[in-house]
Amino acid sequence: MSARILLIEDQADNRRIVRDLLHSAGYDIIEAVTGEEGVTLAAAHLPDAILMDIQLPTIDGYEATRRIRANPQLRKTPIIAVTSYALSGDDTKAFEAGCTAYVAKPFEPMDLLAKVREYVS
Amino acid sequence: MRAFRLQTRLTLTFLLLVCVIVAAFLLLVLNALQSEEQQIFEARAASTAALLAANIRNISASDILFSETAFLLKNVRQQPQVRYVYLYDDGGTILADGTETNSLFNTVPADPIHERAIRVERTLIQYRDRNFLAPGNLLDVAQPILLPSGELIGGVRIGFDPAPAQQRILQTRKDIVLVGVAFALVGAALSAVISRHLVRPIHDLALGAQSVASGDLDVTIPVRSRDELGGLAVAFNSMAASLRENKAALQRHAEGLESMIEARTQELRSTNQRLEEASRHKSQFLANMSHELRTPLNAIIGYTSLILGNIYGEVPDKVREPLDRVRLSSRHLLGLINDVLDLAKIEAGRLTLSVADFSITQVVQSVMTAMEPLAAEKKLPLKASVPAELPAARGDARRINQVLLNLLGNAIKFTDTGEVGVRVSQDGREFLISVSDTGPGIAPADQGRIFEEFQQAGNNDAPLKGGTGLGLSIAKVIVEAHGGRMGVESSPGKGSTFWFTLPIRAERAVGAS
Repeated sequence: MSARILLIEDQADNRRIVRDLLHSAGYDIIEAVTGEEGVTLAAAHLPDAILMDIQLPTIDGYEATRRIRANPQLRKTPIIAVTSYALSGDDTKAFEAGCTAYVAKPFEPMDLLAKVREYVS
Repeated sequence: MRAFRLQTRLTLTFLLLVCVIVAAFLLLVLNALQSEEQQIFEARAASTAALLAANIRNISASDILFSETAFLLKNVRQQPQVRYVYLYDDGGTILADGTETNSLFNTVPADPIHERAIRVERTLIQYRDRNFLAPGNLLDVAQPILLPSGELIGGVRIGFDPAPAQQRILQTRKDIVLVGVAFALVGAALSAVISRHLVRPIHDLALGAQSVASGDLDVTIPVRSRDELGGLAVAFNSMAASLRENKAALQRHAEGLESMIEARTQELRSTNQRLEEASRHKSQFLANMSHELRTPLNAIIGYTSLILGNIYGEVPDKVREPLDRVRLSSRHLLGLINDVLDLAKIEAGRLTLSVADFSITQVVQSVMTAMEPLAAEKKLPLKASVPAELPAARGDARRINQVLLNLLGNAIKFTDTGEVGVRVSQDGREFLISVSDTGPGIAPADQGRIFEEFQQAGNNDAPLKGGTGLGLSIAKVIVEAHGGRMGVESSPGKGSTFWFTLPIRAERAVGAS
């Protein structure tokens, strides 16, 4: 059975790009549009890794990460933060919130794939 | 207090004056009384002697009758002031002394007065002691007896005791001393009263001047007299009043100024607030705008990359090349948008550094890796010289990365032949990082300008080479925010070397805007 990755991203195009990329690499994708939905789906599916957009409506990626980490079953799940380039200090904030790794937008699809492969075999 | 000292001095001066005057006056009085007493005494003595001599002469036409003269002498002898009396003949020999025994009879007194008396035809008056008041003093009176024919037949000699007169003089002296003391006491009291009266207005003035000097202008001095001191007090009061008025006027003026300044400050503050708000709005707008622009751009770049990665199937070669152009142009556009956003942040003073420990060597390596394809495209060798042992740097690694990317990107962009190199060295407490190229170089006149916003050397090249002209000015701001400096050494035709210094441990942003 292939590894399952939860993608939390509000932009439809971005979701599709990541989905197409990861599908082609043989991963199963679960998609969430909001932070709340992401937290719910993470608890329901216990994915092998989570790709977390930081700029989300209502609750942002930091808060969503903290809520996911509050679940004991998801304490060790890799969470890769995807943030906009320009906002300096986002990486530190992401690590503080409990993210495992960090990819800056815009990413080269191959770089993102490499980062995912680092955490999910 | 000074005023009291003045009063003391005045009192003492007055007292001294009173004492001197009283003493002089009393001395004069005493002198007069004494000499009058003395004169009376002497006159009485002289008249007693003259009367005795006249009586004796009258009763003896040519010779002296002893029984008569003895009686006369005895009478004189019995007077209380008379100590002795005797009658002598023209040879100086005593004939009678007025006593019962007549013990001095036929003796010649051996004193100088006597020797003079027998030779002189006028009255001799002489004290035993020149000082009239000397105790036991005695007045000798020698009265010659002359017959109407002018024949000197002898004389009488009487010793008068001045004790009663002396007694009276001493008593008067005591009285006068008492009077003097009384005068002095009254004088002292009067002096004290007068000087107190004189000093009081001066004292008032001194106190008033003191409180004016110490800043208390609410002073009114009592006007005690209509003389010069009173005039001075009036003048002082009007002076204090005008000082009060001036002070009040100054205070009103200062308050006016203060409220004016307050109003102006308020105005400036609100203007400043409005400006800040406007600036914030502009920055917010730019940030939102660039986010909005980047979202579709990220989609374009993402899809293009996926297509080029054959995710959607094998891409025909004739489509691959234009698709590559799409990806490059999109990346360029993204770079421009990022520059604009950085500039907006710098203008808003919101360029913040995310300071952490990092490795300069790693930054240089990642920039070299990122730029390698661009250099390879132009067949430019890319060289790096980094010392093996460098201390850990402290600063915003991503921003330093951005600076180095910009410098290296420019160097590759403007160089067609030759090579591009990065050199890192450590100079004391800072790193020196330089990027050299063998490009066209920059004219000295342009060298300062290229760090300004929207400036590129030789405007004609700009459309050809691309770029906003923002990169260098942003890079300079980032370096300066770390506490470093940035500059260029170049001459036309000989390439350029852009360099910047970086404190090894930059703790926080320095003047970010």
